[in-house]
Amino acid sequence: MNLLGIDLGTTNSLITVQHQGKVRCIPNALGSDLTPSVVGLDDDGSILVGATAKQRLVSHPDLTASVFKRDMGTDKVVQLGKRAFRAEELSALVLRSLKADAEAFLGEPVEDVVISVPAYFHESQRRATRDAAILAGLKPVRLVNEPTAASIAYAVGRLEEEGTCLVLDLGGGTFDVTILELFDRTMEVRASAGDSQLGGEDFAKRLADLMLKENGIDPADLSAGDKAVVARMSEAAKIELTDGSTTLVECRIHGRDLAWPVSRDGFEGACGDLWSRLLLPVERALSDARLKPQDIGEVLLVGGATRMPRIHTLTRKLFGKDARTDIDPDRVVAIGAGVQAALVATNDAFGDVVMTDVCPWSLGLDLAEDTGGGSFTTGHFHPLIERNRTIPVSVSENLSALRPGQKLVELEVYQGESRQVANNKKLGTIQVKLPPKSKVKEIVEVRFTYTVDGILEVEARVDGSETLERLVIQQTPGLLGEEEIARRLTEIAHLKTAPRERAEYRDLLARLDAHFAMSLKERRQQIALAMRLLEATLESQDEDRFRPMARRVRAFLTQLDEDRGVFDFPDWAQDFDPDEDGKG
Amino acid sequence: MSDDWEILGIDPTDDLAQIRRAYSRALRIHRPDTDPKGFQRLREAYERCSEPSYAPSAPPKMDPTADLLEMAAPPPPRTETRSAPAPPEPPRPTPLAATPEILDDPSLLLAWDTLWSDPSKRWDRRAWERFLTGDHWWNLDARHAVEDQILSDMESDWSRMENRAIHNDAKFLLDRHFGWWKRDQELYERFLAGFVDDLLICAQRGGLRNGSEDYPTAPRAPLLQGPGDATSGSDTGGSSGESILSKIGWWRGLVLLMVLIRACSYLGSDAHSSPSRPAPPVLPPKQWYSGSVDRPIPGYSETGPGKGNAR
Repeated sequence: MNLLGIDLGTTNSLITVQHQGKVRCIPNALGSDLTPSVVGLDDDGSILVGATAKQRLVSHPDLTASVFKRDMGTDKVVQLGKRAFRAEELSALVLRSLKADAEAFLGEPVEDVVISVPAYFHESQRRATRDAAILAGLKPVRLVNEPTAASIAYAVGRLEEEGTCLVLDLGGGTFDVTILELFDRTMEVRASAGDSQLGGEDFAKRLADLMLKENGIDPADLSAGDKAVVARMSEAAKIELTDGSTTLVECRIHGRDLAWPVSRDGFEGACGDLWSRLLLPVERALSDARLKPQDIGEVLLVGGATRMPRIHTLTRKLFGKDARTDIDPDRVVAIGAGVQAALVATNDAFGDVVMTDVCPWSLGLDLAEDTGGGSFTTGHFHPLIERNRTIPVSVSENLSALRPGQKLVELEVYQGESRQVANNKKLGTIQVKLPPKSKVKEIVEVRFTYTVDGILEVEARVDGSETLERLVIQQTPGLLGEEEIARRLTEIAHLKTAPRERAEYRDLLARLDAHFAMSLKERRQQIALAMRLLEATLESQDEDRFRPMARRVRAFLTQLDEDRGVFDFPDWAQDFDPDEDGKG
Repeated sequence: MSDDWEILGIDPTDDLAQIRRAYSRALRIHRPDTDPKGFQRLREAYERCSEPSYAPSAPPKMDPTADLLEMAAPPPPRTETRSAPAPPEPPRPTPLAATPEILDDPSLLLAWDTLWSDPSKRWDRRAWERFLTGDHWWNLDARHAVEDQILSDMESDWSRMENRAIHNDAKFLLDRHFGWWKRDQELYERFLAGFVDDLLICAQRGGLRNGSEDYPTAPRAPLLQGPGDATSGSDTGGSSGESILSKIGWWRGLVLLMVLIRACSYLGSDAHSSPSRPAPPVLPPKQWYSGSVDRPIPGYSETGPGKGNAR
């Protein structure tokens, strides 16, 4: 049985397998190993995942969901057609599609996986990720922090060396910083810090805002389709500005044809405060690891958004050295997850390597403080596990009830760094019943255990009693209960995914659709014609007609992607009468 | 204590490389994923043995919580919480250690001085934005030096009641830049609690005004409370009291909700066992914050932070 690694990203997801000491990425039905983390509903109600769905973000924004990783661990739902989807379910559909790709590739069922999560994912986001895997019919054997996975991928080839490296992981939606020390075939994470609400998408959003502002368009006027066009164009322009110093954005928004030139300086200026937000977690990680920038031996950049040239400039400024560029920022996390999977399976390939990680958050309780005279204040955060302790770790502490005869103690569990629990993230509540009519202030022993997966277990026990109270995580808002998972598992199993073999057709049509929405007059007509022909040949159910047509359309699309394409009419298209098309 | 060396399998030493090698060797037996308990024992032994002063004959380690208790004792006014730095935190570079000769580029400090001393600039949001933009902030030594300077200038302005008028969004912009909100603990340890309260409350208001999603929408409560507040029904002051009330509902009448520290068993210490911590210093009544929070009300200054509630 293979143990696979999965990078469930905000923008793209990947699945990897270890074979003969090498970890490789598995291609999807369209031949790419990057599957966009986008889920959509097809017109016939079946589920689309990946590139096919991504194309429809522009043409069918109301039937397509993306960037849902940010909503993991919350109750937010996205309405697609008749059904409202939670982030876990959307992620489960992506995972299910990865599973299908891996099974097709390996020719055997896939169940056990290691999934990477941002280091700064908190408790409920981690649980939501596990739930998503279960909903997809997978068994999440281990969660691994993304920057840790990246450093594993980097370190695994140089285990005999010693040194400290810092990983900057700027993905689509999250930012993580991890400091890793390598010695004696041991990989030790010294500290992790991050910002779970900062990613490449925010930079693209700034560019989009700038575009609307400079063209005098009020964002409130935009339709859902317009917004998708804006998002797509700004993402494309952001990528253009990686290599070029200027680019021209051309599109049709809100009934207007735009031609907007933008420079890299203009873009970087519009992101002003985002750059300084990047520095905060770096500062914290360094200070928690008790290191100075000059102590860092190597800097690794991970995540597609680290391609932005300014990131390189800033890291050079900060560390006085260039970041390594010889690793593929899109795939390194997935490969690390694959290595970790092999390590979990104690695969001989990587021998006796040991990896230790940390808990990036402080975890603790809401505590009352006696202010004298029998009065108390509440809301004080009392950490049991301080941030950046090496895990697994288990800590217990004895707490006392406020007064004799108290019937119940309510332990509220929080995660965060603020002195006031109100500013931290609440994870759940445990109620501990105290012995009745007690004459003394009862003592409660509370134990916090943080596992290697980054999952917190809380237990409380009244002194001298045998009953253990456990944190009932099901009561936490933003998470599903066990029954709820079981119910949704059946529901998801019934959601039909478009057949893999039709994926090519769907992909082509969706890409045409997207170009149709963004193009103008003549080209629009050409795209419409290509769509009609493609549809007609598919409906002819004649493989010999469809194949060459698909090839031509693909070539046409390549031209469109590179801009200014002309659709090359197939000769036999003359037979086809546009008035009879089956579209209506 | 000798157990720790036994766990590592070496004789007591202060050679860190040797300790680390021993740890690494033992790690192969007590792997974190397969033997969590053994790993934790090993890890704790390793961390203790790596402490610089951890020699067999060294005096027992000071309980780090003792300082905290001292801190909580009623301090003389004005010096309240800044006396003892929290032991678990690594020391940050002090402003003195990073004065301009270390900075290759003292322009940040100059820029700050200009901004802070020029009333017309202080009122200009763009001047603040310009000040906070640029690559020179990515020199960490310079950044820390300027940050310390900003905080101490603002603190002394606050405590001397100079009431420098600054743009309403300035504290929000500073907070977004330095991330103070997310490390309030550290600020409370280093600066006057009243000043930090004021700073963070202003930052939050500015953030909400500017549509920032980084702040909770419930108003931030000041850290320190009058002892009467908790029993009179508004736990943390402001309207966050309401949310707590609604959260606990009828439980409130039934039981007292929270518990007190009694003992910190894993440290084997009784330092926590006092169930009645000394009352924290009393802050002025919370109405004080409902006025113009961007600058303290002059009348309050006569009593100084720490006494205001007495009347």
